Amino acid sequence: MSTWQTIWPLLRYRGRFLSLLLLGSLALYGLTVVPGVLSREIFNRLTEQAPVRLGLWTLVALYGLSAVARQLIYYLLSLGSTLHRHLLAGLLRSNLLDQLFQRPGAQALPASSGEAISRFRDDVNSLGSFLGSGFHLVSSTFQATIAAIIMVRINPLLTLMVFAPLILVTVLINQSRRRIVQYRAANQAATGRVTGVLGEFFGAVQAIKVAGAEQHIIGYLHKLNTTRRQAAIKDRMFRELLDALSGNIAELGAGLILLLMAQQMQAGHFTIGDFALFVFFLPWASNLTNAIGWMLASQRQLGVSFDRLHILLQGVPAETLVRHRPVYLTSEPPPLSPPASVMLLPLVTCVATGLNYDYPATKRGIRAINLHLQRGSFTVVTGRIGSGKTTLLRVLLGLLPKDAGEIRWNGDLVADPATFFVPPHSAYTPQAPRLFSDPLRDNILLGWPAAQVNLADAIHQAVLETDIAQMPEGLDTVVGPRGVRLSGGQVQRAAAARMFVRAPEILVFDDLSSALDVETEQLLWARLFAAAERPTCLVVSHRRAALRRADHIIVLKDGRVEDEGTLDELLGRCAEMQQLWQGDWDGRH
Amino acid sequence: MRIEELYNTPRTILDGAGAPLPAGALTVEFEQVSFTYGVPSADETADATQKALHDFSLQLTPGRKLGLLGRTGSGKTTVTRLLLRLYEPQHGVIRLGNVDIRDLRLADLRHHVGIVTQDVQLFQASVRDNLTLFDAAFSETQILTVIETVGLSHWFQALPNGLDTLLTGTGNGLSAGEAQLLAFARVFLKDPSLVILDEASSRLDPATEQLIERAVDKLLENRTAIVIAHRLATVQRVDDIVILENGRISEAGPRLQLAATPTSRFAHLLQTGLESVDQSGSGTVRRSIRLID
Repeated sequence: MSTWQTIWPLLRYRGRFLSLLLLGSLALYGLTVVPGVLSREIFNRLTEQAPVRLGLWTLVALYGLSAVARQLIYYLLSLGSTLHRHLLAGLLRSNLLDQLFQRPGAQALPASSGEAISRFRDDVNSLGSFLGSGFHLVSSTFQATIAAIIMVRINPLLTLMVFAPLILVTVLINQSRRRIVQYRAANQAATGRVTGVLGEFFGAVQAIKVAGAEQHIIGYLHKLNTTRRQAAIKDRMFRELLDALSGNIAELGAGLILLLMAQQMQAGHFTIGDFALFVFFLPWASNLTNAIGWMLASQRQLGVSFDRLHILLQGVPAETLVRHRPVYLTSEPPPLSPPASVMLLPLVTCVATGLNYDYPATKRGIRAINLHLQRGSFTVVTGRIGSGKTTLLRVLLGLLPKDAGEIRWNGDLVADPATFFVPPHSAYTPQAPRLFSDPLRDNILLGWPAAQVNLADAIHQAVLETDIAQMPEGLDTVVGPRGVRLSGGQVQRAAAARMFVRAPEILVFDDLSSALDVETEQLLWARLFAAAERPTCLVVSHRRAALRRADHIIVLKDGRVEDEGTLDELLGRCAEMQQLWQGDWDGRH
Repeated sequence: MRIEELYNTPRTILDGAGAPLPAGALTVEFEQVSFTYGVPSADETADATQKALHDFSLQLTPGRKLGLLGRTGSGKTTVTRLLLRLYEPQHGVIRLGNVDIRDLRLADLRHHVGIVTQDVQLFQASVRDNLTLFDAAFSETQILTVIETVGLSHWFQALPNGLDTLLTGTGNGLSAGEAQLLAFARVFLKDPSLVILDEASSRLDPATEQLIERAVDKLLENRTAIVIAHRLATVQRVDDIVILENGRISEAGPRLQLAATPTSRFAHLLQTGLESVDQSGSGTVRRSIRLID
């Protein structure tokens, strides 16, 4: 998709508003002709070289009036174009965000989150520069055309000379097209790397401190930043160089024209009034020259930014980026619809067959996995690290896109697991749950309406009630960035409570107990099993407390099912299971 | 303005004068340490229930290994945070190698202490940088040896560009367990005098944990160590046990002695584990009982 193919739908968004702004802009630039014409009249009147119809004071008054009108339009136009620019940027950003939300959860971003932020920020912003240059170009063309018409009628030869530098500049910018793109792309990429790594460092302050790696980290940042600085300087320098060249070509042209005009005046073909008019209009020609330069360069840079934004879309048609949708900049967005509280399809069975997934970089993953979840059953997936346990959960839940296989819910094919396997169908606690720097209550509810849930029950199920009772502010305790003020086990149980609040059909735990002590883990499973109706659970674990309760155990090895069955069956015949089981207690003593 | 504000934020943890640390394994000593999160050290109004640690004392002679047990949220991790001076206790003194840690240079302190936690921070950088934490001083051979020691060879061989492979969010399929091995590798490279394992193997499956057991033994050899764990199997190698409850020591003593005292909490914990083994009806009961010997 070319840059223009992306720009057109953007310009059509709020098209009438844009037309209005353009009209205003034309009026503004058109009005600047007035003082030029008036000064010619004033000088002609003063020198009496040519006949003038209006009186001197009328001319002066008109001059003042046009200045006031210009200021007024300028003010309104600034307001309007700022709003317009943010509307378009908002459209781009919400389309991007929407697309990220539609991605498989475990693959939402092509790189780090900080890097994605730099695309959201810098690349969307280059649209502003382009729009500005567009307005400038259209209006200066209009302005210069009026000026040209007036000037041609006075002196065609001089007029031609005035506009000659334009052609030179256009050729110059076109010649340097490749470099503009290359420098801009390098700059944006380097900036993205710095932002990305900064984000990671801020997220890992404690790990960096305890490792005593501050100096090395700063050294690494310095290295990335040096690359960024060099790329940025090249990008900016080249741009400034082009602007300076266009500017100087225009100025030199103006100098030549002044000499020519002097000649013409001596010959008596040119009045002082004509001279005043030409001098007044001269900068406009250089304005137009600059505008063309600015526009051409901005368009190239915007092209680079669009390419970078398309990468964030990760394979989705590029038109998605500019799809029209409401942007709420001047009004409140409509309230969010509450999450579906109606259970669409109560679980009887959930069956997955032939699930395949390979990680693109290493070609490791899972192969030909079958899974059968009966209502009220407790299924444990176990295996060594790297055997594909988490991958299996992610593929089932649509957090990773399956390469092959199908999933059926009560016999019906699940077309899009990612949108289906959410509450109330299922809820999931990942291995390292994320908490936000908010009160514990908000972390558990996470947007779920408090009136619709039994929070106390969920907290009890998650064995979190004693912890909360001991917190000075109870449920209102702010947990700190990423939950740093809670212990690892508290974070995991808060995430479990988040899941219980949603009362889903299937509870999916990934290694929930890894940060729980034996007693707490026992209590958590016991409470879950004591519930009026036993919940359906899919659990990744190698802990005995979980394995012992399992109705069915799946042993994974190198991404394939090594064996499956009940604990006793597996301990009787599966060597891998025996090793996993015994390792838990087998000591060196 | 905002930059200035950030710049002028007073440091709450002041660097020490730079007292030297003795070579080799270090003693660790906590003397009546009390600590509350979010309270400036001058403020003493925090009441006892809020304290993350309350009157905590501890002595660990060089080369001795301590197992720190307790429910989640009982203050185990707080002990390690204080030891690394990520926070400053409101009361009491912490000594490392008989030196008040406030007199040590922070860089020195953290250079001598190696920690493996449950949460492993990975960076979007090469495998090499992730292992060395951007320290260029390590040779390729050193790094490769460590990868083999911690049992990451299998994973490493699948990488397209070896040590220069870029670690990304999901692309390399590094599992949480493998990430934890990577954290072990970092500490091996660092070669510290005191090792802290804070739930270091909680995400490893028992079979893998056994595989790296020798590596962990080697890591703890001739070093003082603090091992935090919920899994009793993990504290088999320690000499002493401290059980924390709501920031207070509820039990402390040599591991073997506590295990042999039927009324001790530690013995009770072992019993909880054993009962569950009995129920399973498998043939591992005898082995498990030997844990108490």
